[in-house]
Amino acid sequence: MQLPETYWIRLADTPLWIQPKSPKLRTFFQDYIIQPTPQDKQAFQALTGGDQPLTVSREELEQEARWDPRPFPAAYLESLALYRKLCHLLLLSDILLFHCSALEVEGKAILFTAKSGTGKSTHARLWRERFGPAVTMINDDKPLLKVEPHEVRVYGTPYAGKEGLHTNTSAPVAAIVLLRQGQDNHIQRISMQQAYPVLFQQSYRRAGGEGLPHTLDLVGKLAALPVYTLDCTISQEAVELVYKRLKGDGYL
Amino acid sequence: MRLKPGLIRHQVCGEHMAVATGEAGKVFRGMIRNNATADTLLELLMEETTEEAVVEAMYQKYDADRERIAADVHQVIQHLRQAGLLQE
Repeated sequence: MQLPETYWIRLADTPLWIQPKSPKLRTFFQDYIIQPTPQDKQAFQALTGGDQPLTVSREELEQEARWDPRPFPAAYLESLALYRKLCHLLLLSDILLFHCSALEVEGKAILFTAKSGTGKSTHARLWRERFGPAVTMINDDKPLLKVEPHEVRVYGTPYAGKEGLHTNTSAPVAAIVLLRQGQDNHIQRISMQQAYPVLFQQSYRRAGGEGLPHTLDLVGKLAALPVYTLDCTISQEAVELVYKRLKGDGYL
Repeated sequence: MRLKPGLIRHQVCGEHMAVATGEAGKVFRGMIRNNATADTLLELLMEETTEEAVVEAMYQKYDADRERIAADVHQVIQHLRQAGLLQE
């Protein structure tokens, strides 16, 4: 019997040394695997305070299974438990897991967020249909946002929803659009105070409250970005409306 | 009487927020947006106390009628009780 292999990945510009039990995860992470430099190894040691690769314990796996009653395969559960662990660590570097569909157009990113089932993935698909290769899907479900003094950057990760749409790239976030199904298409800029509770709901936070004040601060920085509500139908008109508005307001 | 453990108060975006986690998070899913007065009241309820002690502390701090303060404090405490956020 052999120990599982260890390898390095880079998520949100952070080198991470991991040792998952399931060999399937190597395929899952394939776009993000790196050969670490000495600086990468130092950075990882500084972040974790140790010189061991990150693993998922059996206990953490069992806890992960308890969050959702559906019987998932072990490899999938391990990928979720690992992401959870990585997110706890990355929070220390001002990196936040945010539930949204993130696309890049003209060098800038737009984050579409909505309650599950509202149609943000469909809306993102319409952008791809309209703009073709000019649009890059950074991540269709759970990207990482790095909050820096002068910008918020969104990073691709392999945790990308049903269709698994993601690209190992990043872009500065120009705006966040809160999608709602509507009878017609209407876009409105909202204030930081109005945005905050909605963005909070889409941000990962730990049930036990660890790191919450820091998470709340990071969500506050997201709320300071241009945030819009979009009541929309599933249509190209909705895409045009957002594009024109963001262009007009100078964010794209 | 006191707030259930796990209610975290934080100031962000120029506002006072309170988020329920842990014990408090089991009964209350959400975020409370408070004005400064309500935030002070929550702070007083973080430790074991009584309604009278809270009224007294608020009366010492704020320039208002004691009856008015007692009525407002009572109302907030009722809301917290209904939300399941108090442990008594």
